Amino acid sequence: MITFEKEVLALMPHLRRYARSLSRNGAEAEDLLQDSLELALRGKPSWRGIGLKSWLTTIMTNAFYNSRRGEAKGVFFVDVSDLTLADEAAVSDPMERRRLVMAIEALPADFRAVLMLVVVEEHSYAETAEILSVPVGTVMSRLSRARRMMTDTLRAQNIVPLRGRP
Amino acid sequence: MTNPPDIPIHENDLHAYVDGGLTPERRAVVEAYLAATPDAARDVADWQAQSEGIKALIATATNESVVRRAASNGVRPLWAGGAAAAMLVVGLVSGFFIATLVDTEGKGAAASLGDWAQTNYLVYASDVKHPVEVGEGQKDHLLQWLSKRFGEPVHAPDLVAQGFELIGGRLVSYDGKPAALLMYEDKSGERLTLALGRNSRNDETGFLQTERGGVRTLHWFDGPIGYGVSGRIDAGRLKTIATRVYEQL
Repeated sequence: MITFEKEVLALMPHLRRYARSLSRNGAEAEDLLQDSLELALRGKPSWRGIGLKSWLTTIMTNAFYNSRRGEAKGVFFVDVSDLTLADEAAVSDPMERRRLVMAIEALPADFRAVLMLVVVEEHSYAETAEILSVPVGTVMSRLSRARRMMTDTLRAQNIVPLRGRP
Repeated sequence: MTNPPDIPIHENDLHAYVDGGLTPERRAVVEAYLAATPDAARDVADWQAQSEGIKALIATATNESVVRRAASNGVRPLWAGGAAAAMLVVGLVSGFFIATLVDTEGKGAAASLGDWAQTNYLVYASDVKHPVEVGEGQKDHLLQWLSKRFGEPVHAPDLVAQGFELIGGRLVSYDGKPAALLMYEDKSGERLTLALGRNSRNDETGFLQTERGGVRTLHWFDGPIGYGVSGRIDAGRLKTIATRVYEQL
């Protein structure tokens, strides 16, 4: 019990970051994190004692998919109040940040999960495949499509290009 | 990734290159390929920029003072007992993701907002003698009057650092409703307009740029208001100015 809690605690930064990377706003990320922790506690008996990070990541990914199920594709909440909270962002240009967020928001849930696992969590393609319970080939095709969709959105005509682009 | 260095380059190699998953040997092969293949190099550069941007976005959110927010907001305990367990539920997250309505209807409305802002620039900024209804000398009166007619508070962003001073404003019409036009001028007499119109859909868009007859406009919807900044200036300067406007409004 103590060990399990300690290990989950040690993974909190990762879990919180992953929840944020999947969510559209702070409230949604909080819900996802709480739901995942509750599921993890309930599912503790099914944990094999190894690979806790992958196991928790899988739980959170499934919770994320379930929360998105049934939603109309391409319809998003409007949460302007969240906009100002990241004023000191490393992506400090508000236009750039906003465009980037919009491009991420436009990705289907399963593409977004792959992109975030690879880019933010820095999982290998094999680890990502294991977490999502899909073949590596599926990870690669989702990653490719996610990146090309991002590029298309960011490059969309008459939108100001990202800093540093040709 | 344990690909031998001599097999042909596949798109998967380009992703693995971006994600740091190649052996040094394979990496060198991919680099040589990129040097000879501009299209692939451009894709890779795009993906690298995306990855950096995403990491920066997430890092910012994660570095925020979670504990402070938790303390002020009150935390729903998940399970009791022990300081460590209590900390586990300090999972309060302060989000910053702008959820957005991205649809074709939005793009159409955004395009017409840009046209409207541009037209106002062309009509009013070119009027040397009487470009504005109420001059800057009556700034408070101007903003009060525009706010009242417009139905939302109208603030005049400070663009002095960008070389532009407010010279006045006027009431215009957008989408059949009162709208506001603020006019700025720099020392050389170059003018800049900021147009504010009601956004009946109350949604958000990204920053969109249009250019017509040398007049550039950057426009966006932000909740109840649509904004358009127009001027005969280069894209970089306009972007800087629009960013300042966005930050101040």
